[in-house]
Amino acid sequence: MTQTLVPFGVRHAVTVDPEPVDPVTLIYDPDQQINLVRDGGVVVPALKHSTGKTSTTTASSDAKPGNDYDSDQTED
Amino acid sequence: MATTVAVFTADADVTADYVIRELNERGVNVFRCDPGDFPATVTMAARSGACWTGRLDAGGRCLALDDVVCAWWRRPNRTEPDARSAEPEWSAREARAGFHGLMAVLPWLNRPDDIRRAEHKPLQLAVAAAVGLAPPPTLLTNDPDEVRAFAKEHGPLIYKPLCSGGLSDHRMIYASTVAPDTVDDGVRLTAHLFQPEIPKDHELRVTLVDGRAFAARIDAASDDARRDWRADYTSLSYTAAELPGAVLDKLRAYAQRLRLRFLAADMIVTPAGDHVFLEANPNGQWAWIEDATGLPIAAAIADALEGRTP
Repeated sequence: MTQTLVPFGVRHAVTVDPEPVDPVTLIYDPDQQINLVRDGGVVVPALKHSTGKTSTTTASSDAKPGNDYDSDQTED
Repeated sequence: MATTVAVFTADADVTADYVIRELNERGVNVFRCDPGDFPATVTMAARSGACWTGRLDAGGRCLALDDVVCAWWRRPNRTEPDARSAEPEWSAREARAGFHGLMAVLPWLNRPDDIRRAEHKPLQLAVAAAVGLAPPPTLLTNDPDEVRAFAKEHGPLIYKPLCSGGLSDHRMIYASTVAPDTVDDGVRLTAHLFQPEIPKDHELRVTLVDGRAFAARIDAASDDARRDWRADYTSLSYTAAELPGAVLDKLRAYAQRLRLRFLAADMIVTPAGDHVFLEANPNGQWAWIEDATGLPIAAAIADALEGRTP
């Protein structure tokens, strides 16, 4: 059986607690072509929706799947 | 005269919303589309000639290719294989080649191919050095002996991943101090990037849009964030800052060499006041900087997409 080895860089990994953007809470408005959220009884633009850490897909290329936790993790 | 701004991104990309809302307020036609939806819910038809003409239909809207004043490649989803196809992988490859190939004829705020090229960190560091932006000495290796020799030469090192620091289990790898006695054959398993620890007074995130610089000073209040500000956002404070003219000129030269109209650069400012280039993301995020500082980055991107010269 082949032993699995841990790359040096991976030893520096830490557990994070991302604050994901929940797509379920986003309401896409096809007229304005932007996302809205329900805030109380009012629907408002979803801008400034989070405190920082998100886990939205940030891959800049669709040649790469998955999330990119680049320096832009705090995107919004 | 072309009148429509095309935005290629995922529906849930709220950063794109900042710019689209700005364009909406200006009365500019916007066509938003996720390339990941092609061909499932996006229809494309185009004919060659002196230039390609044709249309994209998505979300009840139609984009005439010859009406695009500028296109913006934000954060689209990937075109996934369609289970309805007898050859799903081949169909997905053809879909990507057809869609991306046709989009290559558009005018862009950063061409997608230029974005991919400019994401290479070794290229970033080489171009930064060539334009005088003074990146740190850097070792890229899978040889632990080279790491030890580099540490002897430069003193304490940090390790940082080349691309995404995200692992499949949602752990993250940030820039980390290297303890010399931990350098071993684990280095041999992949490419590793090492740099000397640079003394920091503070850091800068500089967003460059068509040569206009929006610099934000980032001050960190925790050890984790002082090492890598991404590691602890809660300890950060942001203020709008000025970039020295000589540094800005070099950053503009960097962007020009990599054919980038937009970039987000990270720099260290040392206690001596020197600016040290770390990296420049050709498709970096910026909205949280605008929220924190009031820097009008969305408006600048809207200007660039409209073809306005400030």
